[in-house]
Amino acid sequence: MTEYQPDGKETESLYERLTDEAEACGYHLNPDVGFTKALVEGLLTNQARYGYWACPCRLADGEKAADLDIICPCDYRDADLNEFGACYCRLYVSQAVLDGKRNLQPIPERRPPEEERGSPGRTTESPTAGFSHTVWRCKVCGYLCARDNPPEVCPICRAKKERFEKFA
Amino acid sequence: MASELESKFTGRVLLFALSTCVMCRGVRNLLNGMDIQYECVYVDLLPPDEKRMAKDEMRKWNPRCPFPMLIVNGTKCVIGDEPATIKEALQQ
Repeated sequence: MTEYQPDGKETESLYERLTDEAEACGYHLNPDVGFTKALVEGLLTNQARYGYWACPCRLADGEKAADLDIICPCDYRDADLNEFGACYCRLYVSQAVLDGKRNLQPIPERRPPEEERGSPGRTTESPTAGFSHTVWRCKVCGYLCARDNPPEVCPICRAKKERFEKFA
Repeated sequence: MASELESKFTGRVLLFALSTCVMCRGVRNLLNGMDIQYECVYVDLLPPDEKRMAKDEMRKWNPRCPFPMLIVNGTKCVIGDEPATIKEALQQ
């Protein structure tokens, strides 16, 4: 099997797209361009390998339902940005890191061990607390919206529909 | 071959890495620069049965299976790409 190799053009175009999307939403890519482009290559490789952007720094299962929480941007990004100034793979960094006011330290793996992850891909059911609509929560950034179905793409962080859970 | 993979688990310096991980690449560059002999297992490139074996081996050290994971002498485990920590672990 020949492994897919992203070409420079694809990497460049995804890098630019991610930069624009991040900046438009208050997020920042790692300013170390060489490092960041290597991660973008990893995303493209995983796209070809699994069909989705599994985190380049985590071992993907290959079953989308089992990997949903580590599809970039992962469910753990924002918590790690808050606590450590970067996400686990360091693709995204906080404003303080970008401004050189904070140094990056090693980031421990926040994703729970396999046996503690629960059934993959299941949205947690919670009772609708007398609201006229279901409230949906984006697991990546916490965005809430009240409507019959979650949006196709989170307007805040661009996570896809399947990353939403029923909140109320 | 599964047995071939198992024999790597007992080497003096063993690196569990992912082919797509930039920090893993950093550790390889560091080890190469130090002229250290080591075995590198790219877990994401293994066939399913060997991937399972490698994960089981990694779980003995850390149940979250973080990468890069460097095992020295079968007694020490270093997670991450910090040069100082890695050099210290290798100095024995």
